[in-house]
Amino acid sequence: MAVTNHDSELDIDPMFISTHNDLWLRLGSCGTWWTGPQRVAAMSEVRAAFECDLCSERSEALSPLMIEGVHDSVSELPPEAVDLVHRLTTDPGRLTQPWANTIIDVLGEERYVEIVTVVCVQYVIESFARNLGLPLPDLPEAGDGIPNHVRPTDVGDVGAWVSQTVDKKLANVSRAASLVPDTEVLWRDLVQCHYSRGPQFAELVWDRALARPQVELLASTVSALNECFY
Amino acid sequence: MRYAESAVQRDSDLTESRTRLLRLIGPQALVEASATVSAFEGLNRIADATGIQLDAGLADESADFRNDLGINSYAGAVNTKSNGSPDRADSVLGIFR
Repeated sequence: MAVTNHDSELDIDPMFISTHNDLWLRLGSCGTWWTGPQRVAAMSEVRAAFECDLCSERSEALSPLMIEGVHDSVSELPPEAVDLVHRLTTDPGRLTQPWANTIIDVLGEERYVEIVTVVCVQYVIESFARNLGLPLPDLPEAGDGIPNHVRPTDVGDVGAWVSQTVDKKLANVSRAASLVPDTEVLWRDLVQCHYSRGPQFAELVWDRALARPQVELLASTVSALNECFY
Repeated sequence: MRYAESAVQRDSDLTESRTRLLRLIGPQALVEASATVSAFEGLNRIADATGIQLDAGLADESADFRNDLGINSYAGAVNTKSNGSPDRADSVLGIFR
């Protein structure tokens, strides 16, 4: 099944269809730190998180760490990876650095960043489909290959929880996943398609079906609901 | 706004919200709305999971209203070390300096 449905009566811009289909396949390919099957396993955990009893209980709690338990996992991924995927999926506004450090201590910061990026790309594509009433696609086929574990040389401590490129060209969020460039590029392609669209980003007036103030108001609403400080 | 709320909170009235919005703004604008909502679902997550700080320009831009809006009480606020000084950038890109 195509990721974004061509047959929708909404007449979806082909830009979304081609970008989503391309990125979906690449999500399943071998990464720099995780294999293709492991990345697809992480994607299966994103879907499982919505049905997870522990995630549901934690989302109702004053603090998620008040509730102990085991996630309803559907993969063989390490428990720290499962916890990362489930919490990032269902309760992103209450992640903390001490918690992240416990995950990073086990997985390593590169694996942490790669899995975060995979989850975020998947989340955007699936959210787009859900919000338009389109069916979710089957998970991608897992690609072959062995992760090459290549860490970029231009990364360091720039004040975030994980190493990032020290070369600040644009917003900090645009370099959030720069520790794993081969996966980060998926994220960049997706944000370009959905939001920034090249030089348009610097303009106050956008030639789109929604005006820029309308887009930014929607963006602010989403960020407030997720309690995202950035 | 109701459509965004329904989408983010995965409310049972998402279909109704979408239908109402489609009637109001048409299919192309609805698709743009969905693209924006989903993009920021992802942007919020990647920002929160990597613990990035506000850009200096963004901190300045929001210094005079973050507290009033309750944004400084969000969990992610502790990641940003400087509150910034109230100031307005003269361009979009200036916000992200």
